[in-house]
Amino acid sequence: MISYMKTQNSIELLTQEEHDKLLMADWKPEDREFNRNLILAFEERNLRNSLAEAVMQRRSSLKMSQRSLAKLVGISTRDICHIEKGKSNPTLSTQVKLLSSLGLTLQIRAK
Amino acid sequence: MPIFYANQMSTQKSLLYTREFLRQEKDLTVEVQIVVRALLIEVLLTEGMNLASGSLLKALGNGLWEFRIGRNIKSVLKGVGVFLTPNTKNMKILIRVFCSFEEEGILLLGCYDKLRHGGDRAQNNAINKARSLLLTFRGGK
Repeated sequence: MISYMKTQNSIELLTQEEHDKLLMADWKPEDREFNRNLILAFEERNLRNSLAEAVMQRRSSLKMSQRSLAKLVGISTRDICHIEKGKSNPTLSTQVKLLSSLGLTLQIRAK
Repeated sequence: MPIFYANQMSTQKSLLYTREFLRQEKDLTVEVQIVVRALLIEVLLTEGMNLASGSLLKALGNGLWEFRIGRNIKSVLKGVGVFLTPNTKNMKILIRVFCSFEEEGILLLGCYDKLRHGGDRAQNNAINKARSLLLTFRGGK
């Protein structure tokens, strides 16, 4: 996260880190766990959205219909539609079949 | 004095937290603090003004905006594509975050708990306070 100087005229500004330290000072362990779960849930959403965008863009550039892609992967057109809207949580096996059908692959890398 | 970014090369905007915002945020319950913090980072910061095309962001005039967090925790999160485990507490939440979009980032000026404080009058006071902070911030440039 970007950090910046603290003051603008008479207004004191806090960096994300400073803010978080002060905000979280009174949080109990269960609060911290809820926070961790929420961060993970957002991370999962961001991954779903990345998959959705990648599938939609690639399918579109290959001029392939959702129906023909569904047939190739062996899932329903509705499933493809949900994946492209980021509303579905496909299994790893489905993701691999889907990406492979589009000439794409999954990659894992350090943050 | 202009705000100095440690990472001048970065084009990534950041959230600029005022002390007043933190003071009001600390007044919220911890569960609400957690949800608000996550929504600010994951939704307001990443989507920015694009949110104005929906119901999450409303212009209040003169550069002041209202980020609207409403109904209950699960439906708020579901609305932004986040699904929590079924045993997560589902509390009511009705928060307004007052902010402005500055060159340096999104300036957080205050937040208001409509469930706890209700009434238009108290909310208008919170808006006026945020407006006054914004004027001070912009006056310092």
